[in-house]
Amino acid sequence: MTTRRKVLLGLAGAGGAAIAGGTIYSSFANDDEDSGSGSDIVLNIGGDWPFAVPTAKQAKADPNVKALSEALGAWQDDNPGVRLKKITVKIWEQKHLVTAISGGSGPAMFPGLVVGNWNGGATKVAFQQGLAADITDLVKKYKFDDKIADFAKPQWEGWPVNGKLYCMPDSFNAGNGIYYRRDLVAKKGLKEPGLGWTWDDLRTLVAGLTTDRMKGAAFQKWGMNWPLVAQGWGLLTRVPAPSQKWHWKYDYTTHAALWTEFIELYRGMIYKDKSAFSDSTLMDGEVTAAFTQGRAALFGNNIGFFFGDPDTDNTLPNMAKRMDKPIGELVGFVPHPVGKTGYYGASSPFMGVTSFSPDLSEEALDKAVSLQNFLTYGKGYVIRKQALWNETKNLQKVYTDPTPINGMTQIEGIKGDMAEAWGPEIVKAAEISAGLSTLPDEGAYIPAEKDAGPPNTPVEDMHSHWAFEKGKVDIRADLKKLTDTHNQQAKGFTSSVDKADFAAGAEKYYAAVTEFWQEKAPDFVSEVLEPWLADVVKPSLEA
Amino acid sequence: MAASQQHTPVEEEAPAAARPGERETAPGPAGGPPASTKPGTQKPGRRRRVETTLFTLPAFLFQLSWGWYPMIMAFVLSFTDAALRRPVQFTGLESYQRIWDDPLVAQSFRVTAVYTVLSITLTFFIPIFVAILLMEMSRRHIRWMMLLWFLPLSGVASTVLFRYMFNAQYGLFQWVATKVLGLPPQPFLNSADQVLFWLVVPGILFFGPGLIYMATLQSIPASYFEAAEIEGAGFWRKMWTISLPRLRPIISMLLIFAIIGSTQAFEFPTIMTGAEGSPGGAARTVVMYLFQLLQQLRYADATALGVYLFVITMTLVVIQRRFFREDPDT
Repeated sequence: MTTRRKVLLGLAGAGGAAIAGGTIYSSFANDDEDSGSGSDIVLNIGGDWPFAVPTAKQAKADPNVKALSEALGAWQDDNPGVRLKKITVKIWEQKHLVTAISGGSGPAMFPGLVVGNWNGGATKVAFQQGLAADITDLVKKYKFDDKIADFAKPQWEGWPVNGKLYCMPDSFNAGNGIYYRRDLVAKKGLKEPGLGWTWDDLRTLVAGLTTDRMKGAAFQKWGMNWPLVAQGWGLLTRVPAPSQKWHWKYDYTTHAALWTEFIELYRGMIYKDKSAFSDSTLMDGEVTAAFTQGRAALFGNNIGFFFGDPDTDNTLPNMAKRMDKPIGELVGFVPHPVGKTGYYGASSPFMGVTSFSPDLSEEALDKAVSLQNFLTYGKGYVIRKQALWNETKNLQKVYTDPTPINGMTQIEGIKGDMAEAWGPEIVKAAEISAGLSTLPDEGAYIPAEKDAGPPNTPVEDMHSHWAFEKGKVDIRADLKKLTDTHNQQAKGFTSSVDKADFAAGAEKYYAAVTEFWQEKAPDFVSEVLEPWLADVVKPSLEA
Repeated sequence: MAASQQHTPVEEEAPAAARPGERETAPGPAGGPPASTKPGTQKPGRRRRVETTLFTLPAFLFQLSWGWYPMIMAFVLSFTDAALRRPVQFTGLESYQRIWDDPLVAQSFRVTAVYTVLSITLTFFIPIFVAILLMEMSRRHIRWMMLLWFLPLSGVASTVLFRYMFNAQYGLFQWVATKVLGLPPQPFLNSADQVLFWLVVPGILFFGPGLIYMATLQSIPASYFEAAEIEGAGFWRKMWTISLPRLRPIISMLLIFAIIGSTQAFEFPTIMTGAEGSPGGAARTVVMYLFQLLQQLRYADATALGVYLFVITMTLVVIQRRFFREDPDT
């Protein structure tokens, strides 16, 4: 007969067995995922980032892993006593990563922007909250900032947080732009877009490409953002207000006529011309699929989409392979259209960064930075590429990044370069995109806040409202409502930056902005920026 | 040890006597005197107390570690700046005030309220009626209908599928609306006015708690319905006087779950409309907004919002418990 005592004893036995079994299992587990033995320093590599710790078996089977293995071996020869240990952490999910770092079980290195959910401002706040190690001295020691490619250097200038560095640049994206069907543009005799084209040009092109079976364009759910940012949305919608508790206020009404014009242009393509489509469910994948499947002739994204796997469905190289045409002849890429007066903002390049665990000892932190420096800027990068070339003799496998952060578009010992791998058209497009000067970053002038302040949610809400509300929308009333909502939110926050420091930083920032645009788009300065600075910003700074 | 051995047969031979209230008078061990003459007055032995404690301890520790402790800590955090790796500072009611003043919080509560009402109306009450209707069918039909309705479906996979079906450009529902029904193109999830309704619709098809209703209905003695039929009762009379009263305890319990579940809606609206609950935040529930606060590292604000939600949910549950009679015979 089963009694409570028997149940208790059974449970105790089962629990004891589970604990004993778990102990034995854990003592054997993961041995094959460690690199090095008898070590003094252990670097935890989480989520297979920046690389999956290779095993001998994997290195045999995969040329990529073999190449990595060779590079890591070279580094470990110079750094004996360091062991790389694979740990499980969802490194691309902010909540998981932040929890792991907060609890002291985070990886030795991680993609810095994840802790701020891909928002630069929030990432700097996370750095100040102690979620990343201060590597200012190690930057000086390893001097990797000297090795950053020239086109990426301006982006790096915005990353110091109140004089300290919490990350290392690891990648550079040449920026967002528009992909279009070059073959169809030629076939229909349309004008091919080029640097400096406008949103009116885009509307004409999209209408010209539209047929019964194919829309001229497919836009992601956030597509409404692009024509507005191209006019200065973001720069012209935030006003420094050091006299307020939170030192920024929001103003979406001063340039209401400008915003209204381009909101109506975007809506016009979708609802009037019926030449473009968008949907609240459309993300990058869906839009790219619409393009590669011939349902849309144009879409927007970063230049990295050129370099997909030719054997995977719905990638641009796969589309070219399917249609049996060189990708450069089939698909064109051009930076986003500029604003009415020459302003551009939607195409701005983008930098990825690596941050390091705040729990690493001084020595371990040094080794972690050394390793990432070796693989990104040093011999490790070259060894890896050379090994991959020797294994595959395939240039497309070797050159996967048109704008490498280290500037190495040609590597010694490899026959061929980026242009030979992907075609001159694509490399030229990447160069044009990367060549766009980076806009001045306010982080380089205004001291960083300890809190992120009011989020961008009200703006995202209004953009999706304008994009998807099929009926009539009262844009001016919406802009007023948006201003009120955002300012109401701002009232709940308190700046951590001294009022005078903020005002001084803001003055320098707007001086830099004026100087930058004076050279790039003088019409924007004379018609939009200077009147706004005089009528809105200056009185607010002096208040 | 000796004492323990002496008591063993007592527990094995008369375990039922240990439950006061089940018998007026339980026989004592090995033919001894009755364990108790009045329910609830028996003083439990030391071993029983130890055993009871051991049985209860794991559940208590689990609930303490993963239920109460986080809840209390969240409450405490809401009065601080909840800094992650720097000293935490007491901020009083600052987070509560900030959340109270945030217009998007009020909007998210409105969305949650509408979603809760729609969800409970369409996916909670309809299955009751459908389950009663099903019971009126022949056994063969009941089996087929149950098979169709209660197929085990993956929630996330179905949700993703529905997201594509609602696509206004090439979704299946658009095809049905325009090609089959001859209607103009519908906005579905793109309309702020319609999005919450379309979010609830898949819940109707999933049949919600229908299986539990059917199990309860099947447990009602057939003689009740036969007697009612002899007395001339029709379908509505039987439903009103037999089925619904017998279902009342289950309805009461499931209603509480439905209220709690709806006020905490997160996964389904997030997958269908994105983290921002577009368009215009028309589908952003309180928990979705709370998650956005966490993404912005505003942990104190998120916990303050969580406390507001807890208070409101608790109030709804208390009201429901106060006014909803569970006993079918009262």
